[in-house]
Amino acid sequence: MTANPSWHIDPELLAGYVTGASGRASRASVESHLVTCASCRAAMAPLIATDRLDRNLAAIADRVDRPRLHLVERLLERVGVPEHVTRVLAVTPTERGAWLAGMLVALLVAVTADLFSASEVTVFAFLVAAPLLPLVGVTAAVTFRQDPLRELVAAVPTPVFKLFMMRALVVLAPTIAVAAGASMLVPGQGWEPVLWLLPSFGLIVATLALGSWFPVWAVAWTLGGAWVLAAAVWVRGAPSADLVGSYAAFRPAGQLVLLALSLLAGFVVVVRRDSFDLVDLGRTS
Amino acid sequence: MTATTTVELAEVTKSYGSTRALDGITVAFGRGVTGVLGPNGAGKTTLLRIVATVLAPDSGALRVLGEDPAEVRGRLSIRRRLGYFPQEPGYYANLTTFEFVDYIAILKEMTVRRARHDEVRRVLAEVGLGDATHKRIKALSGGMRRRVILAQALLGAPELLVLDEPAAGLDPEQRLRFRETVSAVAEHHTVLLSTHQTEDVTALCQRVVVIDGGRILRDATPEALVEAARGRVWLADRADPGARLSWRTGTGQHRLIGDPPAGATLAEPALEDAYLLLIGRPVGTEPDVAGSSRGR
Repeated sequence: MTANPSWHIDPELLAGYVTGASGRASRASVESHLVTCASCRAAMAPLIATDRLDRNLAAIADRVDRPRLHLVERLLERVGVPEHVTRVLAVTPTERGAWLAGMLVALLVAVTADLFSASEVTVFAFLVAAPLLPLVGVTAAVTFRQDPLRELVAAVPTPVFKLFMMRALVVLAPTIAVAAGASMLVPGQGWEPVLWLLPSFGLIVATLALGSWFPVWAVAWTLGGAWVLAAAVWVRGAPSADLVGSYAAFRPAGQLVLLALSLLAGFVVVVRRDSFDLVDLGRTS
Repeated sequence: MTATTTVELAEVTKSYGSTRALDGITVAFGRGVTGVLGPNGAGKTTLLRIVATVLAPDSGALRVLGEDPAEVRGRLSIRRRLGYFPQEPGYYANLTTFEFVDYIAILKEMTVRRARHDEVRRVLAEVGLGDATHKRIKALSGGMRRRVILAQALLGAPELLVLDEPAAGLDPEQRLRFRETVSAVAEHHTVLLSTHQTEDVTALCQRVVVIDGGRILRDATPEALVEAARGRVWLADRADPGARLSWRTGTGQHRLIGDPPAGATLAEPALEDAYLLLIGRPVGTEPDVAGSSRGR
């Protein structure tokens, strides 16, 4: 606290503060100034025990400067997430924007699924579209090109990959929760409405794995586009009676293949996690 | 690497496509302030980014604070002892100055809230923003924003401070305060300062490295650089088309750099004159030769 502000407390006001004669507004003003003004603290030293004053001022400064907690932070802290983690998650604009976008799209899907759930085509379309929502959210959260702090963040000891994962989890959790809730709204289809979870997981992990070599957003567009294109091409010649049950990705064998591919991609991500560390801006921007 | 050397580069190269930004740079830096001067596109930012571990060189050897940034552990160790001011720092404009610096402090592994907040207050006071902790960054002037970035660079009293044009946009008072802060850090640590302000180099730096075209043109003390220009700077009543560079000063006389024109009197050289002689064009301008690179 070595600032030297352009103004200082009037001696009369200071004396009134020490004796307790000053009003509440004056006390607040004096205290907030004392926090940053070393010369006024020195002027007060003969009037009050300085060690006690320093302790009080430190406590006041901490209370005054402590950032206001967002709702997200309060919720996360309530469930035991450390303060410094909730702070990072709460203040990153990229993560918040991605999260909001994910939530909004997921809600739209929920409403759509609820309104048109009777159709086999609609359920199939829902199962193809739903994996894209978390993919969009995670891509937005981990793509540095939208983060104005990318160069600063690349020079800090916290690994960029760890930061990516923290952001991705915050985007994923509510998005998947809402989309999963929406899929439960699809009546009479048994376990089919949750078949999109593995494709979703696979797309995200594959994007991160390939993103350790290529720009994440480009990989996400390519894989997401390929997923939709494959479904669109297949559906043209498919039997209209059992679209979901006959599509390879939603059959048990296909789901197992997707699980195996996801695990393989996850292994690649873990092995290559350090490649996210350098802002070789060509890849991340 | 000697005991006092904290940064050492040997034959370091970096290219962007067909443009070679660094062309076999070999240089070492130690305690104190070293100024890195050069025109736009000279390779200064690339050099500083490599030292700050955010960019990997294409080839060459590099040691920073005794560690190899190519290795994960070495990079981590460097980043724990590094303060970095990028050329184009970004902001989360909706955050207050305190929240912003606090965020970076967390990323610098300061996880204990009370101690972290004390450190945030210390660095904000250090750059003269002790009274602006609750101001949102979007409400700050350009100079104040740059001081916020300087504040985050000072977190944890780093052993190596890499500053890429930190004084751009600062008013004279802010610039003096900036010099005070940087010189205090440099008493015990290494500061690399890229700037277009030769006054800052003269006022702060024990050493100056002039770069152009990805190569080091000169590595000397500011005094030695100025001495090299002695006898090459003139004052005359009119412009001389034969001079390498000339301009009309506020007194109405023409300051000429190069060979002596008729009727001219010798002038005391400044660092900027020496720089102009070396580069052949004013500070901060683009090279006008073909094949020059931009936007590094």
